[in-house]
Amino acid sequence: MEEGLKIELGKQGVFVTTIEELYNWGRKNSVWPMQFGLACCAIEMIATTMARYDLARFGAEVFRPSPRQADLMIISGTVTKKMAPQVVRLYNQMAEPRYVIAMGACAISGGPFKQGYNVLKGIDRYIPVDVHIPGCPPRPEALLQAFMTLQKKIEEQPLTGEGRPRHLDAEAQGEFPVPVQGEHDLEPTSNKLVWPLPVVIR
Amino acid sequence: MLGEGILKGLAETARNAVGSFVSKDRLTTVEYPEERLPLPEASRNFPFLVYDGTDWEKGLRCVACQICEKECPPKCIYIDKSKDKKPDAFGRPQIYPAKFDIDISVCMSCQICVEVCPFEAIKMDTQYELSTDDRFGGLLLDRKELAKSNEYYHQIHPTEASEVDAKLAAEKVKADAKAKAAAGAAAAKAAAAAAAPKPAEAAAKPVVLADAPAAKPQGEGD
Amino acid sequence: MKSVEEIKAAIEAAVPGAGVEIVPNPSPSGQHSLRLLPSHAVAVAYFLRDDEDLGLDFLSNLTGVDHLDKEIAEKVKVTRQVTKTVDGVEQTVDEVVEETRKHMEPGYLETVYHLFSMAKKHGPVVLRMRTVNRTDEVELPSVTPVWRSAEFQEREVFDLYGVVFTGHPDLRRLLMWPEFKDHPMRRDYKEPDDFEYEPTPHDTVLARAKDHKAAVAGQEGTGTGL
Repeated sequence: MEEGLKIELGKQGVFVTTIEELYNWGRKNSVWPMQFGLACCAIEMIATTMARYDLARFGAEVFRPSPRQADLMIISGTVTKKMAPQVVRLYNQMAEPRYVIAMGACAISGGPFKQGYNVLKGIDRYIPVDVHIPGCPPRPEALLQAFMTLQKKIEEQPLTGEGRPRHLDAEAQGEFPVPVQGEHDLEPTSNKLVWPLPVVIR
Repeated sequence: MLGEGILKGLAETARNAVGSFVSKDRLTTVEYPEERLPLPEASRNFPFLVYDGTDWEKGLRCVACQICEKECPPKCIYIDKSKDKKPDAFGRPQIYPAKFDIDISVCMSCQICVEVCPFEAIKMDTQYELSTDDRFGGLLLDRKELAKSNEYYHQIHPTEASEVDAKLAAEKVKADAKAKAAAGAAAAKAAAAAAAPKPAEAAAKPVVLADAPAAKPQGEGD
Repeated sequence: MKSVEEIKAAIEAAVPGAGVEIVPNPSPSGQHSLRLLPSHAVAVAYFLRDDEDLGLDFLSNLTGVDHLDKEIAEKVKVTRQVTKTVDGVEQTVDEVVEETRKHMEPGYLETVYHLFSMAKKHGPVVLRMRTVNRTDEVELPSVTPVWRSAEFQEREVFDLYGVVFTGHPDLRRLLMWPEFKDHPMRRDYKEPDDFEYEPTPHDTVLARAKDHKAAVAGQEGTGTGL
């Protein structure tokens, strides 16, 4: 049904929807993040939850300390190689449907510390990331816009067929392999199934 | 009194909590995206390339000197120089960047590239709504996405842009004056060179005339 | 506060046989350091902390420096027996020849200490200690019993440089994980190969990205085709 007709009917007091829309509306408006902050971006995330840029207005009512009760993990800050297995373990402990926002340059790609000996060049090497927010650190409004992007992404997920969410897909990967801290580096250096490398640019 | 500090803090919190329902200035929430906090003029997020005029390719100020590439601390800029040249704002043929990529997944907004650019070609943008789910394509900005007009620069940083325009205009005036002086000197030199052979020819003639009578008696004597 | 020479004299008076030498600093800061011998270092540390005039009770920084093995080439004039033909006759003659002699000077690991005095509000006094070499004799005495702030900093130097501090209450890796084998801040540390995606590579990163590409291409070429 087109938008115009819906709005007209809405003015008359008739509310039309599909199950898919209702389902996704419920899911996207109550995404509860996990209390997970690593470095400076965590301060910006905290600022986003405070009075001025209120994240609770978007449904992220409570930041749950336990991964079992959380829907969203906002990776804010540099992921060191020492911490990376723990991040993947926490992600594995989250129940589906779960989403990941990589906030800030360090979480996306290692950022300004990319050449560090202990810096993981982006958490998307081991877990699937839904939204990336560039910035160092990104403004609280940028995190809110990313949250809205995530909500739009949830809204557009069909319930059947190709792009359905993982919790409705029996063959989807539920547990992601935790990297082992080897003698010289994390083994493996990346999860080939999760990190779809493009054709090499340079 | 014991606990006075805590009570003062609690009183402040209560004043804020109750007051936010009553008065507008106790409610500090800025309801994004409907309301936005006005950013200060010097705020910065990621760089962009300035172009003068309407055609972004022709008016791009960048001459691919690669100074920003070398000075960038996390090395997130990649520049490929062009093989040919195109005329710049002063009319002189300059090389331009064939490729200018900035990886904003690494950029830390330090503004060093802006500080070192000698041509005022790269400036800081204030756009922060760049979140994407496309890790590889969406976070590597190329030349076309980076090029924004001088009018846009005036919109986001008016004072800075006017200063830069004044500086560039002054430089253009100096360059024009220099070119004029150089042209004048070249013209004067050409005129001097044209006048010089004439006195040389006049000096050569009397020599020939002096020789001729001396040669004649020899010829006659033969 | 006393100058570096006065501090050296005071140390040598208080701790006999300490063997302190001054390492001059040619930069504009002029912060000369005192090099201690590991054998007497703890005694010197106690003296510096407990002395009336110095009272250096705050160790603000403990860091490491890596000096690689250096190959030193020097030109030496030597008299050698040289066979030459002199007037058609072959003879062995003594001649002065210039030769380049090369020898390896072993590198060492160095720890640098910055000491301040909270009570007297003066400082810094900079101390240095060197290990014998970089490979097997890398022990230095720990100053954790003297200044508690050395505890974590010595763990960091152990983790990143490999200096083993004898007498440290709990010497294990701090920044890297326990199974890690290398020492990252050493100058010959080679980073592991995780250069798969480098859209804006420069200098060393460009070289490593190219090596990685070559290695991957080699693997794909010789690997079993699927």
